[in-house]
Amino acid sequence: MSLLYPLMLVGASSLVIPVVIHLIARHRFPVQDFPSTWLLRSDERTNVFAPKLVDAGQLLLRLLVLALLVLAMARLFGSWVSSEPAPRNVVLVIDCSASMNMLASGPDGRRVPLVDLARKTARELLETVQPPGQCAVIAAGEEARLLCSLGPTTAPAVAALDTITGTDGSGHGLIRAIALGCELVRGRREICSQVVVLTDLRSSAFEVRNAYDLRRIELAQRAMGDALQLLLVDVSRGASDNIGIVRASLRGRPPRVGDDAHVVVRVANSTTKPAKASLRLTVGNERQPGSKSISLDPGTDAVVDVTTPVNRSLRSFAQAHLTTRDALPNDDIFRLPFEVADVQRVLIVHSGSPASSPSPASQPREAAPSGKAAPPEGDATLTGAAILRYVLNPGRELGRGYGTGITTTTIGAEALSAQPLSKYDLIVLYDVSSLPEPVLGDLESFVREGKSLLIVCSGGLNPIRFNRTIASGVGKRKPLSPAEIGNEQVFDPPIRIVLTANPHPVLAPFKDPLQGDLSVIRLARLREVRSTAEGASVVLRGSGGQPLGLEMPLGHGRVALLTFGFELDHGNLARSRIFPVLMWRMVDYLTGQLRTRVPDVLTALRPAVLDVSEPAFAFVEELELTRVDPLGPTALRLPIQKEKTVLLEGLPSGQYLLHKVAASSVPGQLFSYARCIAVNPDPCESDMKQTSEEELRPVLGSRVGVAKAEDIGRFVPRGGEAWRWIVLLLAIVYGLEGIIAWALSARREKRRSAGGAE
Amino acid sequence: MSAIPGMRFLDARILRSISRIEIKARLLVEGMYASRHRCPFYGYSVEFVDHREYTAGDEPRTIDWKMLARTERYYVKRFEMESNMNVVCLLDASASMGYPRADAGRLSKIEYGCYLAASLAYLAVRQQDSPGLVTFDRDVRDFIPPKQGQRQLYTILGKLEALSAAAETDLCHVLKALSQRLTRRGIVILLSDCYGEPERVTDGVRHMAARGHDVVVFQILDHDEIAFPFQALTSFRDLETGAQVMSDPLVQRRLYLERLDRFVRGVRGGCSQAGADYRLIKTTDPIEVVLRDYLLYRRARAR
Repeated sequence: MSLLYPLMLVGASSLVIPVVIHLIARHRFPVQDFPSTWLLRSDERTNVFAPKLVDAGQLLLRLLVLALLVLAMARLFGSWVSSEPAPRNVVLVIDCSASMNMLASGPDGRRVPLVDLARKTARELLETVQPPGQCAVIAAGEEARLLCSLGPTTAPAVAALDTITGTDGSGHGLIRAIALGCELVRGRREICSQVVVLTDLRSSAFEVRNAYDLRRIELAQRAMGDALQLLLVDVSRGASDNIGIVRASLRGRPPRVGDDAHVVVRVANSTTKPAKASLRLTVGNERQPGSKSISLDPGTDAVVDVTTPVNRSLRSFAQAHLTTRDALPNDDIFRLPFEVADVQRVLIVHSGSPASSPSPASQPREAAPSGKAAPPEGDATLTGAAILRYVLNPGRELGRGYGTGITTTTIGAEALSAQPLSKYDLIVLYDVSSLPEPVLGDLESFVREGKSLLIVCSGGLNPIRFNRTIASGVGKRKPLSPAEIGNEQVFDPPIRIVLTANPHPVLAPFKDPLQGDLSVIRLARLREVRSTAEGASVVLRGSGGQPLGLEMPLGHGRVALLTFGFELDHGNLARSRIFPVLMWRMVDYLTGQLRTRVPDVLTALRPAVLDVSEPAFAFVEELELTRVDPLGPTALRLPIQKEKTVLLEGLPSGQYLLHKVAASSVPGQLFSYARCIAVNPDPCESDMKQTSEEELRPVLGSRVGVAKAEDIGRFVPRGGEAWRWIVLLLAIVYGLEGIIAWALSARREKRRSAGGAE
Repeated sequence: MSAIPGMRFLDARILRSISRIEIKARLLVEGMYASRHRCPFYGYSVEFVDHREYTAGDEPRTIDWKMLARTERYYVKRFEMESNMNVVCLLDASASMGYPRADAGRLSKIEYGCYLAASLAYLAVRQQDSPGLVTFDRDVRDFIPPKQGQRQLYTILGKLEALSAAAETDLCHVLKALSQRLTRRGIVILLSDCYGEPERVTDGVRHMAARGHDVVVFQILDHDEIAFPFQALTSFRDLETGAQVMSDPLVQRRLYLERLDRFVRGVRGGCSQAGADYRLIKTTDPIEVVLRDYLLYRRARAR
């Protein structure tokens, strides 16, 4: 027996009121002026009104009426009143995380997802809710969603249950859903308010908790005491076996054509026994040959490197597939963007002078597309251009294939006019003093379209001719050099390269000497810089303040100038270990590949903000997100924020392309540029480790309980409120008191009449 | 609103009743006074004043036969001495006479006494007697010596108009003092509730009667004092002393009435022993009825 509203017992203090009225009430007697009061004799006892307790029986009855009223308002509840389920409030929290898609055997033996079992158990629970109890439904996935507020009927709650499906997201919103449920029933006055969480009790869902949500739970428990029951129902029917891919990523820098792409896959075994699985890779829609077999001990994970050669440029998706027998199919596949960059084509133009030309009989040399090495040169002169050519792709020069992903073509300046410039990514003018005006115009167009030009001023350069032609603008043509140069200077001792606190992006990694020590570089010969062009900036300086490198934007591209050559007698640059890395970075920088973007791999149903500042998305205000799925694409318009970002609300698992808004809505339309975005289920959902009641008590309070779905019946309280009996008794006592009061009044009146008659 | 102060105490209705009664009463009174005040000298006053019409009850020897022969109507002779009688009203103006308050819907005892005093003064003036007025509480407050004339009536009325009930009363002391001041024998009419010990009240009356005055005691009581109609528990506050007595009337009523009866009997008996006339008057009794009944009683007793 208990009281649903014990605070109403404060009303028992009103019992003192009738006693006060009966005992010590001070009547306000009328004062009557009277001339013959001396005949009344105040000393006589009968003249004095003595307060005394009169009609004790009536007083007791009135007290009993008040007491019954207080008891009725306090809502006495007893299990002896009824054997039916007691009116109670039920808030159902359904776990909709990815792990609830796991298949389990239902009561009829069929294998169904756990979320279906949870719905079935929820419906059974709703059948036991009696008015005035109310029920509500909350879906707990990545976030907590209130599907049905507390209401007196169960029909809306049942309808809300039918809308619940498993998702790809995590169960991080479970604690928040519990807090929301506790707040819904806080203050309710039924005998019991239950927050029933139908979940698979995986511990990862309870590891993400917010202090604010825990505080809400604590406040509700403190306010309601034993009236609030927090019950976690395990619908998983025991431990589950699961092997899943936790993560997959490309190792190293993005591969280039001819490279081997390494996809590193991490696989976790959260079962209780050893397991075997097979891992294979799919790039685009092509399954890659070969697969890897994995053996995992229980509770362990493994990192598997799956390698695949790439022979063509590609912008698509790669998928790591895990072939295994487990209950959760969602985590057996992991998607990631797969981009294979094309080789960087560099055209090295030398002046043809003995100082710069690689050899008097040099021919335009290109790397064979098949990657086969060209025969080595017989000329022993090692010019700066030759050194540059060697260092950009030493593997090719040594007959070992592509190597760095840079192909070089070396020509003399006189052959430049006959070269189609558009197929190159970078043109290097090595010691080229002058070029015909049409060629210069072609070079300007080349740069303005977004390509780059590197001018190396070594010992063979004629500064006067250079300044008159390349470094100066003619007509509408802008100067192609960031600076006018002067004579070559010799430095003894040689100068060093100065690394500032905010170095150029090319030099940024060398702040860590382990990445490369710039301090060992010595330069003995430099070209003097007489003036800089408008918009040019010095990006590299020597120890004496001499500008060593300048660059200048021109249209969509840029022009860079080095005031030193790579000849061996110009310093030790070409002999240093840092020289190749420096040159590769310079080529990456000038071809726009220095900054590599991290592949867009997102977690399902989790919001994300993407940077869309690449030039391909310039001059547009919104982008379109298309799902590339076997089910068919669905497009979503995304406005570009002021900071060149787009906000992605939680997306279900799948492969998406982010592109400019298509001119037509033809599905499968090819886009000139599209960014690949892969969305995968939350890897924490692959961990099948369950939590226990002991682990939950410190988090959710000591009153939390864990039960199996089949045992939930014992948590339904039975009984009822005794207000009907109390009201009946109240009516009887009140009537009795009224009858007695009437009888006493009549007797008193009769006495008065008799006294008056005398 | 009368221009002359106190004229309200000469209520037209009462005067009409008194006039009829006066005619009768006057005759009665005159007859009474004439019979009451038999001149110690044989015959009547030597100075003839005037005639007045004969009314039943007048002595035949006073009839002027010559006037009868002349006018064929009966007239009696009036002599100066028989109309020169003092009629002094002693009006109790203590606080107890102020009950009930003006909002009670009936006359207070002092107002009733004022009406009585005014009516008696009017009668006296019409009878060519000398009315006087004494108001008192614990001492004599106002003393208007008896005098003849209409102006005396106005003086008395003016004093009655300005009268208010206040202070305590000491009837015995006042009567004793007045018995010394009223040297000429006449009628002394006491208008009071006579509250006090009956022995002391009758002692004062006895003093007054012993001086040769014809004392008449009109004990004026209010209906509430006589019937004690109160029901609820009440705190009774004395009008003179201010003392309060909380009492349950339903319980106290019987005892109160017994004590009241004992008191009234005591006063009546004392007055009777002192040779004074006594009347218990309720303020709800019509004034003209009271006067008429008493005067008839006096006339009947005088025969």
